[in-house]
Formats: sequence, C-alpha cells, structure tokens
Amino acid sequence: MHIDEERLQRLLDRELIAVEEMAARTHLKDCAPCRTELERLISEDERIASTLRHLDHPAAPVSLPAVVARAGRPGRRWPRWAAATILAVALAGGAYAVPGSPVRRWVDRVLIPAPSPAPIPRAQAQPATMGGIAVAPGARLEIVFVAPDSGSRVIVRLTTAGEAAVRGPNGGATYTADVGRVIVDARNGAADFDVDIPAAARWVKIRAGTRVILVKEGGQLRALEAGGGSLAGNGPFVLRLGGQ
Amino acid sequence: MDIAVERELTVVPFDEQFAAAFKALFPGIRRLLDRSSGDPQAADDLAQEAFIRLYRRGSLPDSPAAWLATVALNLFRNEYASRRRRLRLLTTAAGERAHSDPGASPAERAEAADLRDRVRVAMDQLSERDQGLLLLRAEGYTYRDMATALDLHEASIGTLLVRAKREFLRRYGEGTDAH
Repeated sequence: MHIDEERLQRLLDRELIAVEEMAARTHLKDCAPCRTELERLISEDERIASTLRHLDHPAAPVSLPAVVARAGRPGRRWPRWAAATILAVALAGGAYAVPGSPVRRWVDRVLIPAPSPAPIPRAQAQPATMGGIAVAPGARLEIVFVAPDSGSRVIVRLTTAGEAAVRGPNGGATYTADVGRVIVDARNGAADFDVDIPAAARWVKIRAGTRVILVKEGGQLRALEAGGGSLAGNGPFVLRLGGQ
Repeated sequence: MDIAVERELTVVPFDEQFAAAFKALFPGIRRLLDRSSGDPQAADDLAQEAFIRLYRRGSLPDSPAAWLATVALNLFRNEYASRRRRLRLLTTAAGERAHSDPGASPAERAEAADLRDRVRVAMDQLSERDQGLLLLRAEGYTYRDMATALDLHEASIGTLLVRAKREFLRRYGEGTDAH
C-alpha cells in the first residue's frame, strides 16, 4: 500500500509525528512509486515557490523606531472595553433621563441613602509617547548626549538589529544625525533614554558632553565610571547622568 | 558630573522582545501582504499597522507569527479585499514604475510584468483560503500557525494544502498555456 499525497506533503513539511515519519521513511526506501511521487511533490513545491516570487515588489525600508513612535502616538484607538464602558454609561444615562423610567428609581434607591458621593477614580495617565532616531552604525558611530547633567538615565543594550537606535519620551530631547554621529540634546530635563547598539557594530562610543561613558569593544560593551573604573559585558547597562 | 553604572535586571523588556519580533517577522508579514494585495504601498501600510497593534498589545502572544498573520490578513480583508481588483488596476502601473529594476531593458521589464500578471490572475481565481494556505506555507508557517491564522482545523491543513497547490498549478498552467 502506497503513502497518499497528503501524508507525503506532511512528510515534506515536517508535520508528521516521529513515529509516522519513521514509518514513511522506511516505506520510501523500498517503494519506488512513492519516491517518484515524493520527488514530484518536491519539484511542484519548488515551482510554486519560484512562481510566487514573481509577485514580490521590493520593500521600502521601515525602521523600528518609526513603528514604535506611530504605535505610541496620541489619538490611538480606544480599547474595546473602554468603548463598551462609555456606551454602557451613555445608555444608562439615557434610560435614567426618561420620565417614569425604572432605571431612575433603581439609581435613586442606591444613591440617595449614600452619605457622600463615591469618589471619582482618577483617570490613568497615558503612557508617554516615544521619539527617537535610528541610524546604520557604519564603521564608527559616536552618540553624544548634550547637557548630560540633567539627571537622565541612559539604558544601553546590545541588540541583533541592524541599526543603532536612541529613543526617549517625545519632547524629552531633540535628535540629529551627522556622518558617524548622533547628537541627543537632552536639555529639556530628566528623562530615560534607550540606546540599542547592534552587536555587529564595529565601533561605538557614547559620550555625555565631553566625557566618554561607554564604548563598544569587539562584541562587548564597556561602561566607564567617573572614578576610573569600568564594567564590561553584554549589558544592559544603566548610565545615570546626574550630579555636578 | 557623576556617572553611576549598574546592572539592569535580566528580564527581557517588552521593547526588546518586540524589536526581535519586528526584525524576524516584519519582512515575511510585509511579503505576505504584498503577495496578497499586489499593492506594495498597501503592504507597507498594513504590515506596519499589524506591528503597531502588536506593540499596543504590550506583550507577545504565544505565537507572534500566527498572531501577526491573523491581524495582517484581517486588516487586508477588511480594508482592501473588496477593493483589491480596483487597487490593482490603479496601482500596478505606478508600482511597476516605482519598483522596476532601472537597469532592466524595456523587454525585460515587460516580461517581468507579464509574469507577475499571470501569477496574479491565477491567484485571484483561488479562494481566499487557498491563497492564504499557499502564501503562509511559502513563508514557512507551521500547520498549527496556518490553522490559527486562517481559522481552520490543524488536522485538515495537509489535505487543503494539497488541493490548493493542485488548483493553483492548474490555473497557472491554463494561463501559461494560453500565452
């Protein structure tokens, strides 16, 4: 008895469980028609894959910080639960306003004996939106924090991404890029900045003003303390920029 | 100025998880949408929108690939499927101009456009389910993730995939024979 096409397809796609796969492979050793059928499926798959590639258009580059910035932009859609709550409150309010409505009696029964109104919960603060910049690290990249004694924190990580990125809260800084250099002007007060350094970057240095606070040497980060000490590793490191 | 250095917690923050997911999955999701829609600009927009929704979710699902494919295909279905044919007619010419290899000769560009049209015609004749199966499989999705993304039973994926392949090759063969 031969292996049916669906099972051969699952074998090709590595979707058979181990026992099934072993049985199928054992059968294939001794069954020329099934081997021929498997080869036909392989060739069919290759033909489909190459045919589908004709549909592809080159992709425009999209940077991660741009997507993150869009995700955090104000005016985003309300979560469903919030919309449902608002709708329910609006409907209840409408029902309360109708003369003779039983809702009015229910609400009054609950509210009138109360000695004081229930406290109104404070609205949750919206998370701060993020801004930032991403650049290809090139042969050398220097990231400079201007006005470094603002009490800000710089959290530095090695990443597998291809671009170096600096992110901070919107309005927390301005970012400019030059050849081999990113300048973060953080004079707007204390803020947390995330700095992602590609593990593949050849040479990266982070400065706070004129002082070097971190370098990437080979595959490692080395954070440099004010007292002359240093700490090496893959991070993440938190560099506190504060004090005089 | 005092610079204090300390170790951060070892828990991988969501931003980092998201960055890894973005790097690994964005090209495939964008390609899935490009192949589904035939409209590279729409593919760019919808792929970004899918990742924006993932970011706003605040945590990664069990299978980010399946989750993103589900969202991406729903976005495409809701916003573009009904207009797909019209969009294709409107955008193909501009898309070809924008994305053609500038070094290719006019004859080569015409041949590439002809091939693309023939594949597109064959794909458009398939059901949405069959298109999804072929495109997700081409991206290396497991049967489980394909079932999740297309709302199918995992056990039926093998059979449906065999039928989808057969149907696609038949349609594409008809188009090729006609030339």
